[in-house]
Amino acid sequence: MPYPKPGEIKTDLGRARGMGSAKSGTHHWWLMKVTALALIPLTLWFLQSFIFDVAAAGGDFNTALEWIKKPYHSFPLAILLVVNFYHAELGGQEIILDYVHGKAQIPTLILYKFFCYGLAALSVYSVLYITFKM
Amino acid sequence: MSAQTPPTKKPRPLSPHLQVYNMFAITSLTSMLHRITGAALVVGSLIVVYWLMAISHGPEAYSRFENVAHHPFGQFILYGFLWAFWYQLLNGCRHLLWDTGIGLKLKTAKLTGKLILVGSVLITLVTWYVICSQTGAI
Repeated sequence: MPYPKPGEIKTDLGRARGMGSAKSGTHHWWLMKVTALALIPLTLWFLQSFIFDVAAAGGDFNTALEWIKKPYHSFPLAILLVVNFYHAELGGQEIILDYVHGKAQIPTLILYKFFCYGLAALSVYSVLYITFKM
Repeated sequence: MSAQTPPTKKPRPLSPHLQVYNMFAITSLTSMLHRITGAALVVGSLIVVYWLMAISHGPEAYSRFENVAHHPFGQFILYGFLWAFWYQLLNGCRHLLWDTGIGLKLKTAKLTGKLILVGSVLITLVTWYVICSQTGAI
């Protein structure tokens, strides 16, 4: 075995340090699960309300407008949109980490973050605008 | 050898990859579909955002949305979105149950995988029937 170079004289622990977190390693996974759990009732509520209250009433402009303007619709809808895009951000991040490597990885992650948070902001703004300005 | 490479001791274990997996075993198929439907749902969410923006822009923009949504291709995309939603919901519940330690036996995992594949299609068909009966299409 050749002599180790200066940087290689390290214990296993010394080598592992700084290579990853020992404190928040499960944080991403945990948020994925919590947002998934929250999305079960939120999405099911939206689907059934969309079918029985919007589509069944014709699905026209006025029906959709009046549906969103009800506070008991706009409030859970805004929460659904935020949690949905947060969950999408967490999930997409995993896909990017698996398939995009090298110099492109971090820019892709940042662009995807902008995309998800931008859509969350845009959709919540639309709900607020419809509720208060229309 | 760069300074960061640790001295070779023994071959490190590799995580499974495409050449090792049987891609069409029920467990890996459901896993791949979970990721594919997840990505599809991100794109599908854009339809909901478009719906909201169309409402906020007024009746004319909304009628353009309706034209897109009622077009056969639009319908195809919307029902694909619906299936992706049901698949992700059912398989997501399977994952949440796995996290609590339930259903991890290979035999059980294969069975629940098959149930989800068939179940997601059946629930999509039921939802399609409910939508059609509610909107008076059938």
